[in-house]
Amino acid sequence: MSSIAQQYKRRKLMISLTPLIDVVFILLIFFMLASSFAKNHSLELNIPANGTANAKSDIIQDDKTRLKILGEGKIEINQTTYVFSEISSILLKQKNNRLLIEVGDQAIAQDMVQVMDLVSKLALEKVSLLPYKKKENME
Amino acid sequence: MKSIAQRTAKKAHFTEENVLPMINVVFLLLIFFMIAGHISASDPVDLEALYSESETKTDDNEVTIFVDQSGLVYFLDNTYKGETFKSPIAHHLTANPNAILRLKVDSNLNGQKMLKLLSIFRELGLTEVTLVTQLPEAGS
Repeated sequence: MSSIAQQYKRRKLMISLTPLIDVVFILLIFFMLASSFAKNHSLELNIPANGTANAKSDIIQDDKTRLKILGEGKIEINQTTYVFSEISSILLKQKNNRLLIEVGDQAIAQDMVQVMDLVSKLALEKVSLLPYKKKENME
Repeated sequence: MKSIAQRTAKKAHFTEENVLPMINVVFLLLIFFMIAGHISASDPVDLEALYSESETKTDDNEVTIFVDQSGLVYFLDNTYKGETFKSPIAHHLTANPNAILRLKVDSNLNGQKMLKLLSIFRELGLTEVTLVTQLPEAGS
């Protein structure tokens, strides 16, 4: 047999890796683009009643701490403005009061979640989120 | 003197040997992405995640309402402006009374707009909603 024929026979016995590499690369690119690593978690949120009688009577019975989320890390508690990091000690002192959370015009959703996180961390039980109030200049 | 075929075969064999470590690495990367990542439908809008310490796991297959920074609502492949999302959500809740609705809002959504949304959900009969959050990245 000639040497060319021998080489041809040997090459036929070897499995060519090129198509395999092609497929593996395509799979790799697919998984790199399609998969996501961000893990979603959840936060249960009780929706405030739109000013029903029951909710109001509950609020009236307890001593109140009024917390207003002003935004940009500022929180107002009973008309005094604090930075967010200062409020946990104040809230702990007034743990037995009902906490009324009001959302200011400049507050964003992240500020609200930050306060909710703190409330659950401090294990405060009497917490009410004040409902949306209609304003004439709001859209 | 070696024939042209012999030289070509030797060269091909030499190239394949060089490629083997690369194939190994590519295989490892492929296995990593297949196992570590999870494939799910992408969100209809690019939202900045809400960061919360809450570690409660959530089911990504539940129906999710997306709300972007401007207050536009995305629900079941449609976009709704203002309060137009009320009727499709009410319809969905009637068809699936036990449905759990998840709310994924942009972290920069105005608090008053968020409260307004919640009050509309309350009008639709929902008393609780699941906010989709992410754990804060380490160091932040």
